Parts: sequence; structure tokens; C-alpha cells
Amino acid sequence: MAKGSKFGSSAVAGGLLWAAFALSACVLPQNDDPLPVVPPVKNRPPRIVPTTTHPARLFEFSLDPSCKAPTVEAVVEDSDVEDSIRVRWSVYKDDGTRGSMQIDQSIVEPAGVVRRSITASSLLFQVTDLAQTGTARQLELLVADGELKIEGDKVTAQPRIVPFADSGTTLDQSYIDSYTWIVNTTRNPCFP
Amino acid sequence: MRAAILSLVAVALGGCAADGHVGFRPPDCVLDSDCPGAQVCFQDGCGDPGSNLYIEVTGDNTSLHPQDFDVSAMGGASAVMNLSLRGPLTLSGRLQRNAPELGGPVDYNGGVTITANGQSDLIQGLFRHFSTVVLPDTSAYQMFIGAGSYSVTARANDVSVPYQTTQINSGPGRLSGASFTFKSVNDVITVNGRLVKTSKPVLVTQPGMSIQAFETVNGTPLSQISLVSSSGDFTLHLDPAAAFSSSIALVASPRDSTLLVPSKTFVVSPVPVSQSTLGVLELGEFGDKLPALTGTLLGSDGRPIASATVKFEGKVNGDGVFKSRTVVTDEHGVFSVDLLPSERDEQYLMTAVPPAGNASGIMEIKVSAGLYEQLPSLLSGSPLAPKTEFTCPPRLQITGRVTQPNGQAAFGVRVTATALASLEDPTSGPLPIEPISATTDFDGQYHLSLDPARYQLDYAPADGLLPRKSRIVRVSGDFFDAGSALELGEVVLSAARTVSGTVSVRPNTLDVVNLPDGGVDLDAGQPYSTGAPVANAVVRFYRVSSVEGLASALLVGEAVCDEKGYYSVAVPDRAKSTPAP
Repeated sequence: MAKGSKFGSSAVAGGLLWAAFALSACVLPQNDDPLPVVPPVKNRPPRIVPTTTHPARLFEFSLDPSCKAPTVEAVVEDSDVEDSIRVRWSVYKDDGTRGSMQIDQSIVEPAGVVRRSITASSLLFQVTDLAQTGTARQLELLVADGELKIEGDKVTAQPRIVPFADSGTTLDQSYIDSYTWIVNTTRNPCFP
Repeated sequence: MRAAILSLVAVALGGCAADGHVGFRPPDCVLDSDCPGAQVCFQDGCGDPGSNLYIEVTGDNTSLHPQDFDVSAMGGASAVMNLSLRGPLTLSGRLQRNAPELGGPVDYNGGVTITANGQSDLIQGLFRHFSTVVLPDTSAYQMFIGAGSYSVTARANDVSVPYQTTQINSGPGRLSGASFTFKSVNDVITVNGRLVKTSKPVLVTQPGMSIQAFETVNGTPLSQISLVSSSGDFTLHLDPAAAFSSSIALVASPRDSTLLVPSKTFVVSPVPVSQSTLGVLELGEFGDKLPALTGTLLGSDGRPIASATVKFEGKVNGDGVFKSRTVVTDEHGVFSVDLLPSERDEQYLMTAVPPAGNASGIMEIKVSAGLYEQLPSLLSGSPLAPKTEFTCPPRLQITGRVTQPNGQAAFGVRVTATALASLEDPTSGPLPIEPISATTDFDGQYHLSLDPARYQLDYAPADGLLPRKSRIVRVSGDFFDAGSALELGEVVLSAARTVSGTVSVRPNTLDVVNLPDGGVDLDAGQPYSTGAPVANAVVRFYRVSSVEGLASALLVGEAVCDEKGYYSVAVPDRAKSTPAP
């Protein structure tokens, strides 16, 4: 009996010990929350560096065959060096309406650097409204770090879909920046 | 086909098989390993990667315009190259007009536009243009320019004052001067005339016209552009130099290029040497605008080409030349254009340019514009018959591969083809004006659709860690079998060495020496003050060489400074290891 009693005491003690371990998860405070998921770095906007735009804000362009098409360029700064930059050139007529033709330049691919230079296609001065003499017109450089969505005169940058580790997704805003030149098209000759 | 491929590759990448065929001297190398010692294979052949290097630094867009550096004069390319700009380069001068009745030149303050067109002295082929407007009531100007040689022109707002032009050089350490003295009123040759559409049987005027005088031999403008009044009357004010010409050309053009009126050139000989009246100049009965003419542009596969540009140019009745405005095809390949009727024995040259990346290329065709069975039509063939569909020829398909110096495929390299010149072939079409680009895939392969021409192919690695590479290739249909693509061979990027440093600017000193031409020498005085870093300066490394007898500036590296003026550029170097097989 005593033997049996001793066995019974051990069993009870073992059971209590097991219960203490097993239940401790419920009754003892635990610091086992999973580490919060580090959110992906939000996209940062590209910026046209104002001091790098060339030529001056107001410039003259001549259709005379003795003149060369001007070099229009700017530097775009994007801290996200892996971003591709979309470039769109638009010409606005003297009445402020957008011209019949815009030029989407080749995507500026990532080059591992924050600042990338952009040069306008000479096509701008041959096929757009800039190739018509008359009054001053606006030439707009638009850069974006996302796909462009064009609805009539409205141009927006499409947000990117960012996947989460749990297979969920979220949207990351893309951004647009622009710069505008005033271009006066003339027939004045250039001297050699 | 195999032989054709090999011959073009030879032309393109350095062989000698087709040298005589195209009058094009190919470089003597294909790979860097073809070059002796530490030389690198450039587009013009083997060369020392550290020689013929020049740097262009543009500080900002307002005053610190480009200044150039000769790397050899700086002791050669080194790992650290700090670039010190001088303060803004300026061009300044006084504006005057001769007035003998007042005893000599007097200040001119009628408003002037000053333009400087030129190019870098060190980096041949880099063209630079600057201008400023001098407001009325001001008889002096100052403007910022870049380094180089320029033709500087003063154009007075008053069109009765002929242009004045002078040549200047601008460079660091020197502030340039260019003063202008316009001709006196009495020296200018005044010519009157009347420009009309027709004078018989009834006089019909043509509003919206302008007229300008040019020297017939070299095309130098001899007058400003004068507006023709609604009644057709005009007055031209010729530079006295016109009197030394055997003839002059008066070019009448519509003021607004959207006006459907031709341009016409009238040759005047002998040239009037004093105030004269030319009489009536007739544009001729060039006809009335035709109702909008339409057509459809198709590719060689029969599918419509959208976003192509289409333009027409040709003689019209009355011997004038009409240029249409450039129109663009819609998504169905349809274009609509306003034209004047063609001259009886002349036709328009219609030029259609499909967008970059399209498999169809530039098309040129002679067409007439007129009424056919009372309907406005574009006509071609013999006898002339209406033509509504225009088919562009296929572009030539080029493929190639780019590898890294270690032989691995180079992914993400931007390959840009820029047309340099038309082929010597008289049937060759116009020069493509838009660069065509492609990016290499994971195997380093790229594919381009090109019109026949001579191209510079630039290979720009994506990560900026390797330098750019360039090649000149001749793309001609002679080498192609129908429907096949040309394998251009492999281009191995050169190894890189990094050049870094800071860009700073030293302010112009106050210790200056005036030069006889009105310029100022800044180097004749005190030591320079300490330079300040230039944020966002654009630094470009060029290699200047002779390509086919012409000085050519090849961009080999480019960077934009950070806010502290720091830059880092990868320039070509000879690989230390041999490429993997």
C-alpha cells in the first residue's frame, strides 16, 4: 500500500510538473510576439534638378536650315537608383492646349546613380508644333518613376504593386515631376 | 548569306573585306585584345585609353556654362581628378550705330538680340548656343556663355538695321568682349518692291508673307526678315556688302508655316547699290488648297503603321516650293494632309517615317496632288492614278551580343543607334533623325530595326560601373537576304577604371587686365581664391579622335555631381585578365 501510495505521489507530482509546464504558456506572460514585418521602403519621387535644365527657360529656335536644333536637356534625380524613369515631352500651343503630338522618349534605365541626364530628341523640333513659326509655345518635360497613364490631357503615374511576404500586396505611389520651357520658333538665320 | 554576314561584320567591327566597297575605313581592331600593350579598341581603332581625353563640365544652366579640360594637360587621367572651374565666362560689349552727321558712332538702344553660335575648341563636334535679349533703352550687354569659338550676331529689333556679326573665343580665365557698331542709316541700301500672288489679268495680293535678302553664292543673309504688307508692299534694308555681290536672292516665305502658300526665290542682278525700286514680284497662280488629302501607311507585312510622320515637299504652279506641315498617322495608319495642287510636270516628294522600333522603314515616293474625277487625290504612276495606300519597305534587322570584359553576357546594356550620314548610294533614303535603342537580354543579345545609313552604336552599361563603348557600322541592304537578320557579332565592353573628384568654382578675381578687344584677362593678377563645390554639375568625359577623316567626340563616361560637388566616372581601361573563351 505504501508502495502504491509512493507511486501515486510520484504520478501526481509528475502530473503537476507536466501541468505546470503545459499550462505555463497560458498563465505566464510570454514575449513571443513575432517581430513586426519591416515595411518596404516607400518609393521616393524623382526630381528635375532646376539648375541643370538647358537651355534657359525662354529660348528661341529657328527653322532656318543654317541653324542646328537646340540641345534641350536636364538632370533627373531619384534617390531610388533602381527606378526606371519615364520621359514624356509635350508641346502646348500658344492658346494653352496640348499639341497634336507628344514624344515618349526611351525609358531611362537604372544606372546605379542618383542623377541621370536626359536629352530631348531632335524630333521635337521637326514634327511637333514647335516646327511651326508664329508665337511662343510651351515645351514640357515630364518625368515619372512609374508607368504613365494618359487620359486625355491628364497624365498620372501608376502606383506600383508591392508584394508582402504573406502573399498580400499593397500599392506604392509613383510620382511625376515636370519642367516647362517657353520656345519661340522663328526663321532667323544663323551665321557660320 | 554567310559570306554577306562576314563581310558586313568585317566592315562593322574592324575587318578589311569591304573597305573599298563603301569608301569607309574600318578600325584595325574588334576586341581590346587585338590592341598592343595597354591600348583599348575604340571606334576609330586601337588607342591609349588615357590619351585624347577631354572633360566637359557644366556647372549650372544660368551662368556656369560648359568649360572644358584637356586631360593630358592635367598630367593624364588619374584616379582622382579635381576639376576647378573659373567663375562664369561672360561675353559683354557695347551697342552703337554709326552716325556721321553726329560726328561718329552713337549709342544704339533700340533693343537687340545677341546670339552666339559655336562649338568647343577642345572637344570638336560639341556645338554650343547662347543668346540674350537686350531691352530697349540699353546700349550695353553682358551674357554668360560656355568655352569655345563663336559667331556672335547682333539682331536689332528694328528690321531696317542689318545684322552685325563677329567671331570670338571664350575660355576660362578670360572674359570676352564683342561690341557692335551698326551701319548708319545712309550706308544701308534700301530696296522697295511689291510681292503679289499675280498681277495679271487682275492684281491679287497674298497676305501673311515675309521676305529676306541673301547672298546667292554662300547664302549669307544680307538683310533682316521684312514683313510684306497686306497690299504686297515691302522694304528691304541691305547691308552695304550686298553691293559687292553679282546677284542677290530674295526669298519670299509665309510668315506662319501653317499657311498654305509656297516659298519662292527671286534672283536680282545686278544688285542695286543705292535706294531702288524692284517692281512687282509674283508668286504665281499656285492654286487653292485642295480638300484634305488622306492616305494609309502600311508596313511591308500589310499592317497599318501608327504614329508615323508624313510630309510633302515639292514645286507647285508658279515655280514656288511648298512644304506641308508634318502630319502623324492614327492607329489605323491613316494620315490627312493639306496640300496645294502639284505643278503639271512636277511632283511632291512624300516622306513617311515609321516610329522607332517599327519593323518598317522610311519610305520616299513621288506623288502628285490634284483632282481626279473631281475628287481630291494623291496620284502616282504612269499614267497618274489615285493612290491611297503607301507601303513602307522593311527595316534591316540587326542582332548582336554584348559581353563583359570577363566574357560573361552583359545584361541591361542600352544599345543606341544614331544615324551619322546617309549611304553613298544615290538611291539611299533620308537620314533617320531619331536614335533607335534596345536593351540587351540576359544572354547579352540585342535586336535593332534600322534604315540603311551609317550609324554610331553606343553601348551604355546599366550599372554605370563599366564605361560606354561605341562602334561605327554601315547598315546597307546590299548585305541582306530577304527576311533575314544580320548578326553583328560580339562587342566586348572595356574594363573600367574609376575617375572621381570634386568640381569647384573659383570666383573671377577683381585683379583684371583689359584686353584691346574689350575682353578681360583674369590670369594676370593675384592668386586664385579657394573654389566652392558645385552641386549638380554635369561631368562628361570625351575621347576625341578622327573617324573617317572627321574630328569626332565620343562620350566615354558621364556623371552628375552630388550636393558636395563629388563625381565618379567609369572610363575605359585595358582588362587585366583575358576574356573567358
